[in-house]
Amino acid sequence: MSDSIYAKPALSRIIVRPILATLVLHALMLFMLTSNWSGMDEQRIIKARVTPKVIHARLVDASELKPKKAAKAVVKPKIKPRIKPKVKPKPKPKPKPKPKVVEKVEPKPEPRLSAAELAAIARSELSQALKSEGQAQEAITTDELAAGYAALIRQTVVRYWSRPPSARNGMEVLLALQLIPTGEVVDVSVVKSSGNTSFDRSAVNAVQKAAQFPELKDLPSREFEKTFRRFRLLFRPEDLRY
Amino acid sequence: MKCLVWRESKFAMRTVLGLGLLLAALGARAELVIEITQGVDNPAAIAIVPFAWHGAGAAPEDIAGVVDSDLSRSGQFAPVGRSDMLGLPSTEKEVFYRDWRAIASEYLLIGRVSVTDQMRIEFDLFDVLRQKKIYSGVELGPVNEARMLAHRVSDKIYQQLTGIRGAFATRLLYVAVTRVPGGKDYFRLTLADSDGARPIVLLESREPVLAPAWSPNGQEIAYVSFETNRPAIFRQNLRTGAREQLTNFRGLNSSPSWSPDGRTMAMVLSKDGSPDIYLMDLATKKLTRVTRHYAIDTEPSWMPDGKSLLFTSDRGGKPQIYRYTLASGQTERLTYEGSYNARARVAQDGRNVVMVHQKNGKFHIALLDLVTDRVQVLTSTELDESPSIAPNGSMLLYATKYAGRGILAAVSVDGGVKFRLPARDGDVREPAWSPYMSRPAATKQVDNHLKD
Repeated sequence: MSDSIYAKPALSRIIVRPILATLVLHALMLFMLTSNWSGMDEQRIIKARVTPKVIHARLVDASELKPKKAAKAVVKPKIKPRIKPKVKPKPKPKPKPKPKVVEKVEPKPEPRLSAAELAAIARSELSQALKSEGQAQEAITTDELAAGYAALIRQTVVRYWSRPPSARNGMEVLLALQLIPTGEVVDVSVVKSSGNTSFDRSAVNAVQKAAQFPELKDLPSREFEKTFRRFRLLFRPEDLRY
Repeated sequence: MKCLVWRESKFAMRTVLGLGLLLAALGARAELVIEITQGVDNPAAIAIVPFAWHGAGAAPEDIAGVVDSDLSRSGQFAPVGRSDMLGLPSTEKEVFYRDWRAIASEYLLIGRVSVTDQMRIEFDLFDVLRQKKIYSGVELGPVNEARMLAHRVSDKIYQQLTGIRGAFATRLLYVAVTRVPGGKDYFRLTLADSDGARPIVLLESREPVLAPAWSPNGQEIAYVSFETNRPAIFRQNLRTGAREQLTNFRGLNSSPSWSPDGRTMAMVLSKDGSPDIYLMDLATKKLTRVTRHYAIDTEPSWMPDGKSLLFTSDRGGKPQIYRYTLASGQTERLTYEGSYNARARVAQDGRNVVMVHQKNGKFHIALLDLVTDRVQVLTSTELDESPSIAPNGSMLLYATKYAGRGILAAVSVDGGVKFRLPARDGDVREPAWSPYMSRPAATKQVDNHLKD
């Protein structure tokens, strides 16, 4: 019975399944875009990178697929209502709700770059590059935009971070920052102390001295809300004598 | 068709489930964390407002001025000039953070000084960026110890802001030599504050005085004096001035070094042939021979745990640093870099060793890290000798030549900060930085009554 059903429409395997899979993936992406994902335990660490290395594949795919989807209008209405409700409830209970930002896109794992390479790049250059990238190229992924601005923030803070002599490589203090769209720091607090008050203070002071990351003004507000309204800074020296 | 769609949707469901699990494994959406692994380590700007004086007449000492120069000398701080200050508050109520933020001062120190029978210094430290008070303290002591009280204020501020105990309220020993052309030189064993101020002559002699060393509690000193016409080791109580000759052996009697528990003194004697290291029990005066080698073994220095000694030996052909472990009797060579490493002194952390290191024919002070075995040259002067490290391990003092004269200079253990101590008349040599002093006034009775 089932054999005959499958045997008859070969088209189901060739067309319907791929379409379904596509739709599922789209639905997932939509969900990821619109839902309020947040995670305290799983922290995404951006070792800020500067040179744009794009994985454009995703975006191109999407634009190419859309017309196709429309063409197969016959299948679509039937599937959509069934799948959608199933997609949503599944991942929903997982994210810990966090009072936060409206929209989010979850980027792929970031590539890592050595601190030295990063330090070598001049801040102004970077800022300009970011501006042009952000405005001109629609193709640039949000990951890269975020990573670029993260690099900028990083470089700014590095310039203001003056460690006390009691600081040792490997000490860690995690700060939570709150910014407003002008790039101004409105709140900074210690989330996880290093245990050394002078070291903690040096990190907070570095942020206080930086006070503002004016380049963030150029960031699309969506992107700002998503990533930079609140973020964290992990101070962990690696360049001390010991 | 219906059935087909159902099957397909089931397939889709499985896919969704699989993807859902995958995403769950990847974790929920994360907050951006930017990692900072480098910094610039500029000195922190601190405004030290002149302390208010509540008393008759002029203040006996500019306390804020002493604190200012202490913190400045440490290299960790860049005090704000008084002329840049937009106000001179002395109480918390008078502090307006914006005034200090405006001149880019990160910290603010204010204080009040009064004298009844004792001097009383009250002080408050503020974090300008965060707009809050981070420390309040009081120092009490005799008026004639005003400078030492000021150094204690510096110690507190330094500890608050750097996380490292301050070593400003400590003292220095050194030997000042006044050349007498055509005659015999004057040797003066001198005690001064850590900033070189208030020098007191402990011993004046026409014969050489060498190798001053501190007892671990900072109340006694030892040195080598030639006043008996041969080198002999003496110990001297700083408070009472009482003096005791510990050795009078034929040949060399040199390099006294107090053990961390204060009971034993390591020294170099050549009574049995070539110079070797000996330990003297200070209570019984019993001697134990530590090294037994035809080469020269000299300049012993205790590790802070008292379990081993560092010394210089030329048993390998050139002077190098060796370590002798008391329990095992084992000797191991520590330095291999360069053809000359001598006169080691160990920091309280037991890790940093400072020594004289020859490089390109010039004598520098170098830091040997006992964990990494890395040698780092700290000084750029050329005839450096006698390094002595501060009790908090942050700075070291050494003797060098400047404009043809022997002077004392200091350098931070990271090599970043260098300064010279004010040179007085004559040559200055063999500095010895005291341990922490529990009582700042402990040495006030010492005067010049020991003139030879």
